[in-house]
Amino acid sequence: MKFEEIAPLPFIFFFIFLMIYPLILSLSMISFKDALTLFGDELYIRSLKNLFIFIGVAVPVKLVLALFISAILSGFRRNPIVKLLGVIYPLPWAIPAMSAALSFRWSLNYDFGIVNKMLVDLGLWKIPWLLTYPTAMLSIILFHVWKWTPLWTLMLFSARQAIPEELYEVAKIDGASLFQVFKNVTFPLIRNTFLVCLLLSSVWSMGEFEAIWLVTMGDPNASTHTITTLGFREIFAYGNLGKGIAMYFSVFPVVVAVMVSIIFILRRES
Amino acid sequence: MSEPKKVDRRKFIYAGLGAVALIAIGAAAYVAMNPPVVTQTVTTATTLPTTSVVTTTVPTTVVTTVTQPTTTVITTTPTVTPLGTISMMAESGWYPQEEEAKRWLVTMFKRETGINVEMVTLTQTDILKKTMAMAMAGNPPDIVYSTGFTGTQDYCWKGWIEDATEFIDDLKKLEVPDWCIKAYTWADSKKRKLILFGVPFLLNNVPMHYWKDFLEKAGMPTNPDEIPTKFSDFSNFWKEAQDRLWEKDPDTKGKVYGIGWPSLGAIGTAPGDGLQQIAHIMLWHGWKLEYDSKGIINIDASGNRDALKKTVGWVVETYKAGYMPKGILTWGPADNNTAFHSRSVISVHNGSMSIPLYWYSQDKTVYFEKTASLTKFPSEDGTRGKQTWQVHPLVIFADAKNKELAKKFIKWFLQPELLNNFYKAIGGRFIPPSKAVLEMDPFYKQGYSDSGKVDPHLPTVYEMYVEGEKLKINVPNIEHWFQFPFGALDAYPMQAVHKVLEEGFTVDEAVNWAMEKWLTVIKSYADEVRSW
Repeated sequence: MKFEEIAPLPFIFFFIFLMIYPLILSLSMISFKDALTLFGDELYIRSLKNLFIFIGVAVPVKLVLALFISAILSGFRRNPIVKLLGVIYPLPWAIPAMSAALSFRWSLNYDFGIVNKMLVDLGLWKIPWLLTYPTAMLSIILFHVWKWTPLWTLMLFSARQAIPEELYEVAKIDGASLFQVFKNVTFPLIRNTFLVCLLLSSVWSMGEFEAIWLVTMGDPNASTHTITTLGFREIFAYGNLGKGIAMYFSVFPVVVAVMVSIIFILRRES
Repeated sequence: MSEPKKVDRRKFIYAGLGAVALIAIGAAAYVAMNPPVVTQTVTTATTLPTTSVVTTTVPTTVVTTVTQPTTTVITTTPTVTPLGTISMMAESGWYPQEEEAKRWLVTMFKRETGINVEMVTLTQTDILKKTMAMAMAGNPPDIVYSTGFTGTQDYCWKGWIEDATEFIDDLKKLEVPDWCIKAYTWADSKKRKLILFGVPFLLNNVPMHYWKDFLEKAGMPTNPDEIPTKFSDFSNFWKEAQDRLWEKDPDTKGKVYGIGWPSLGAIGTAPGDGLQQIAHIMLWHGWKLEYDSKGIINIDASGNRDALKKTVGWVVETYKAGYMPKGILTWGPADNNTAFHSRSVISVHNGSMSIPLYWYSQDKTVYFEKTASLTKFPSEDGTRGKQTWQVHPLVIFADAKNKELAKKFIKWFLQPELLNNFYKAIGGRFIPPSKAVLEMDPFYKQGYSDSGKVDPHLPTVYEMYVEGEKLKINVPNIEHWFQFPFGALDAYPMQAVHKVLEEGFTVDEAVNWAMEKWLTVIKSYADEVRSW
């Protein structure tokens, strides 16, 4: 047997030991009853809906914003103000999520939060950010977008740096509009990076925890949970391991579907 | 001469990678067989007692040893071979004094018994997660000390906790009341019997505080004894205070509210304070705590449904009338503190004495002069209302490797003088459940006496506990009522309020919904326990 043939064995061992074994072990902890109770659980159904709303809104918003901001950072990179903004801009991503989420929560407090205070000072109305379901979901998405857009901006910014300047010059000579330049020059060349960002952002957003647990605490009246936080509560607050794991496994097919479809697109493109 | 044999570069790299992988596999296998338990070890042997611990003059061996200067301690400490080591998982202290007190405790234990204590300090949440993982792996710590160990009831049910019934006599000698012991009596479904699943050793009340200067500005009485104890009058007192304050100081209109309780948020995560506060309102409206011989609560005891209706009705009405901040619907455990500190509410209800203790460390004028704590809670008929207490235990795990040594530790710890030193050292956030210890030291009765001022906060805890015992109005708080985390954490009374305010339920419908939910949850384990 050639050495090359057995060389992947350590990787296979670790993959089985750290990925497959825990997966099987977790599956073995779910009882049929646990799985069945999920579908009669109103809170679970609501949390599943919230998860799809969260991903459906937060991921596109983050990536569109990232495309736009990376264009500004890249297009005006010699402007000193933009340079300064480029340094400050990634800060939300760099600061610890815990302190960021808590300060966000307090800022959005209806009665003594700084955001409502500013609105009132400007002669506007207070917004019940955390008090109603729609505004609480919006607050979660806002926090998530604020926290994570800088990361995707940096990724797309670096992809833009690899585009030869001559291509833009040629497009300019041909009289292409900004949109045409983006459609025919920029996007095709950053497409693969964009798809990787889309894949990672979708998968990571499914696991978003801090934005919900710390910003709204699942409120009002436990209405803003997603499967991530609800499963955590089930396991660590209620000690109901089986049901909690069943919740996580119930979204596993969605995660796999998202990953496979994006990987498929990536491969087809390459 | 033959040429030196060439080494294939690729094979060389593969061999290197293979060797690294083999080492990694070996290390992983070793770690898997010997999982690391301790993440932060406090080296107790070299930790020296702090002055806060040693200021007491109680003439006991323990204190005498502690008051010795550092060098003397070292020279007088017998060099004994450790007779064993116990692992303790303890909650990180909220104040440095708490950390010091714990270190002092393990130092003293080692000095007197020769048994080493490896103490790991973690946050409440981490303790829950770690103990669960460790217990499932069959490798739990020997002792756990946490004030937020809500999972213990569930652990007891699963058979993870060692029966501590043998300590009941020690607790009785210390005059620990029965309701404290009952708070830690629950069913072990493996042994199919009721056990003592924790040794209660710390208490904290659920106090109410208010800003005296706001009341003064509103022209209302500021002395706690002048605040009415009939619930309707009590409620009107705070409403009137708000109305008058808004009238006299228009700047406070829409910014300062009369009633900053109960918190109605964090239902989805950990309602904590809010649940304890609403439970008080239920008790003040006549909610009864009735149990059968198997320790199962009779949730639908006569009058309970009515008490819950009055509670939900009062909260909804008061909220709608604008006497509570709008945001109270989502207040989590820290938000009531923030609201009081930022002077957005006149009165507040809290899960511990952390609000005045914050001011004691920040601004003594606020602590001694501008704020006060209530000594008497209200009730429907004007007699002193019931007072709930959160009881905190020391827990030994059934699968602990050093159970006997852990029991020795608890037995050693349950000495009045030692307990007294410990409680004083942790700085007043908790009091002993032991009446014998409470009477040992004037600290509990007098509180802080800086510059000769009368402490308006800490002595109220002593007063409430002692008088509460005489009047039999002390009860454990709601987290102990059901002996099952589901019942407490789902916070149905709080949800009922939300159902009325947000989903168009009537008060009756919301309360019936809450009661049915509770009855269903309780039935899931009550039937089994009753069959034993």
